[in-house]
Amino acid sequence: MLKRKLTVVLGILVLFSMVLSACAPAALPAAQPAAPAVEGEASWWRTAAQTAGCEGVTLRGISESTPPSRYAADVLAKAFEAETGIKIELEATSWDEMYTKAINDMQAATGIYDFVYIEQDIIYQYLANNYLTNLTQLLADNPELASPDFDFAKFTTFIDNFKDAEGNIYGVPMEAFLKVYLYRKDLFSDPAIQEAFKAQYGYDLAPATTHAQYRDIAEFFTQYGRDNGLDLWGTTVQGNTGHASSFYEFFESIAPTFGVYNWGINMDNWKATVENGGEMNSDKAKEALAFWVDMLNYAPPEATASTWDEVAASFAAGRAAQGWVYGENAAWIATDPDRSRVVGNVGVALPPVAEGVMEDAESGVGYIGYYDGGAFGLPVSSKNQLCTLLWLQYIGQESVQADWAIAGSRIVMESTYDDPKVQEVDAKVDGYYTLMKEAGPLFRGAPPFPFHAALREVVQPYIWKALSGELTPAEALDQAAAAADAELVNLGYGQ
Amino acid sequence: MADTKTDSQKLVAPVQHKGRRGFLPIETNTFDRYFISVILWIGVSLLWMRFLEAMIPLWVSTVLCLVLAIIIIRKG
Amino acid sequence: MRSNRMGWALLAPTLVILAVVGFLPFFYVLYVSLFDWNPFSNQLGMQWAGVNNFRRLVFDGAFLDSLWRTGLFAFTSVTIELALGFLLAQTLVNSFPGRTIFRTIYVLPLVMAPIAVGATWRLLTIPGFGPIPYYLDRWFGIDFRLATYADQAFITVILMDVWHWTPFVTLTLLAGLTAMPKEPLEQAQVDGANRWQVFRYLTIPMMMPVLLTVIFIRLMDALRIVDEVFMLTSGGPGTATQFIGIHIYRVVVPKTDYGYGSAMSLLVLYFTIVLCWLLFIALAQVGKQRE
Repeated sequence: MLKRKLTVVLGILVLFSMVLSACAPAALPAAQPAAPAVEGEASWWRTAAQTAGCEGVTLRGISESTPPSRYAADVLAKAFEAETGIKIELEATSWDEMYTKAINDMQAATGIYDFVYIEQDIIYQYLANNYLTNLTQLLADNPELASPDFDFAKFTTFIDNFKDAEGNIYGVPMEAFLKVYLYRKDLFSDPAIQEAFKAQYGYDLAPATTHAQYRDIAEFFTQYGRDNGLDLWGTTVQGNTGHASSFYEFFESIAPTFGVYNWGINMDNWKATVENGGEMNSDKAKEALAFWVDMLNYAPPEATASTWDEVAASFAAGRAAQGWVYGENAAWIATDPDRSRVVGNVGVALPPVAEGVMEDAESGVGYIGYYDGGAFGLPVSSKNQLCTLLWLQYIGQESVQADWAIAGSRIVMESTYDDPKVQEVDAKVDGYYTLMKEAGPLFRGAPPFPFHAALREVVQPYIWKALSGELTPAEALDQAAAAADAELVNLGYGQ
Repeated sequence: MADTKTDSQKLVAPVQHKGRRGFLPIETNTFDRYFISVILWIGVSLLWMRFLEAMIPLWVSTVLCLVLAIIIIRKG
Repeated sequence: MRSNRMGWALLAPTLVILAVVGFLPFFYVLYVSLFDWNPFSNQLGMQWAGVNNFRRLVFDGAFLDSLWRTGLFAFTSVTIELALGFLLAQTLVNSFPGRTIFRTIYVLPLVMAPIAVGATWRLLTIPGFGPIPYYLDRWFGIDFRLATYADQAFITVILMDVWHWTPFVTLTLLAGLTAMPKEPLEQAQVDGANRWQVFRYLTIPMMMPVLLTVIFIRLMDALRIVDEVFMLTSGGPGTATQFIGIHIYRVVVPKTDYGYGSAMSLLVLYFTIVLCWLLFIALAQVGKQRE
């Protein structure tokens, strides 16, 4: 009896393990190592590591699992270890977990992490809590550890996000990208499709410059996909109904194109409702949310379960004709045939905007989309400050930037744009890097809110409910703005 | 699975109360009566804050609960 | 006297552990719940708030909704599990071909970690890729999208819980049924009672302690469910499956509202204790009646 039972259980286990191993993804190709240190010559890095007594030390860091972070973990960390003898353990995890772990560590001053990923939007919270070490000061205090290859002045103006009021720098930028408008060049340039589109809408098919055009294109390709039995829809929507990503897409990419900036919060008196001088439930904001929720009708079914990762995956799988996609994914979508079905067919353009928004962006009043990125910062609680300083300078060298840019579509230094390797890839991604260089100033990161996460948590359920149809866009924003006003008072802003 | 029989035979009331019978519908010992008082105090305070505090301040409920607690502990 | 001291000495390690893992955190949470403490607010550090957090709580619609939703979920899933579990246990008491194999396969969900259950169900239901939406659409024309339709999400979460935990209910009830004395049942049959009467007036009363124990355990589990649901829906769409555990997580972790979150945890603890206590009393009463 027992024997029979055992046989059955074992049989099932064997079967399971076979199924599981068959389903395991093929191992990713190993990333190529960075240029090795020059043989025989005692490098500056090795000497500096010895001076600071860091050899054999292990530095622990945490970051979101994005292409640039994975490159840092897989390639740069190994190169740094070979050069200095300092081991880097970089934990690349989900965005939510990254914040949880980093904030808990810094709040409790446990000192687990020697460097943490600071996204542009959270830095004001961190600075307000004195979580981070002043890198400018630390370098000035330890001139013998300041690498000749490292200079804050070489970075793009994106580094300004990581400065305090006095201009001290708290993070070394390692990631910077735009949320751009991606479209399928093969579909947009197909003569038969162009003809059919013109016949239906009366104007030529081209990347959308207005929201009306965007909607037409989305509707057209959804119908086209249905008629031809294709798994093709008109647009992506980062509309996860249980994750912060949908909040971000709406307030940082969609609402600005309608002229609603800074999440619709009046930064003079910290109010969100129209009655109190805010814009969160203004007509423009409601129009924006209605437009975006309507896009769900033309999006693949996974849209309401999509975060930024799934949006990139949907686009790479050829399931959408156009969409707002995080630029950190642009390079692999356009060039990596192992992961993308649309290699060579990716077009990049500026997002559609409402009237007056472009002028706002050019004059600096507003912006047309999201310029995001992150830096590695050094928590005050770290016990290996000087060793981490070396690592931060290592990733901030000009020489490591080009390969990193190609692996992660991120650029943090002016000089990287001119690198021949980058320019070669630029051609393949339809000029994404050029667009970033030229139109970058039209985009902007999250507003400098010290209460970023707390407010997001209060507002996002209403956005989710609008996406799931539980509330109309107007109801959702009215309730969200009222809740935001109440929470801001709670947090001690704008009594 | 072999000894389920003995297990379930042991499945009787987990605690033998050595209490007494007061006006409460169950037999209670001293600890039970303190426990009931605290539970009631918390519950009443919460409901009070929700429905009555706008008219009658919270300390009234605390006093009432204290009186109730004494009654329960003495006579429950 | 000596034996008394010996007893305390033997108990000491347990008491120390209980104090460290049970009482200390409890009192810490109690302490924190009396403060406004959010590192991202304008006033840094802990600000004395008295019972203000609780005062806010009883008017907090999102919290009360979440509490109500959790209750509804727990009640529905435990009821279904109990009914289904009893039926299966009754079936499994009798011998039939393939019973052992069935029983082995049947308890497999029980050994799975909740997070794995959530992941499995997520893969099954992911729109555009998972088999469940595909076949529902193909065979019945149902547009199954967990992340869009609140009702579907709620029902799926209940189904997932039933799938995961009915085996436990069945096994426990099976143990109870097997241990039941046969004589009263046979006697009743001799006296001409029909199957329903036997079930209603004999089986149920005799099974009462086991039934209550199962309800007790399952209810407590269902009230604090987090991992499976978080994996499957992360509380969405909107707040349709944001049960109390997930709600507290969101307040304490991403929102870093430590004081308010502590107050929430305590209130939930209070409800759980009251519920436990009521069930406990019921169990004790049943035990007394049997004596």
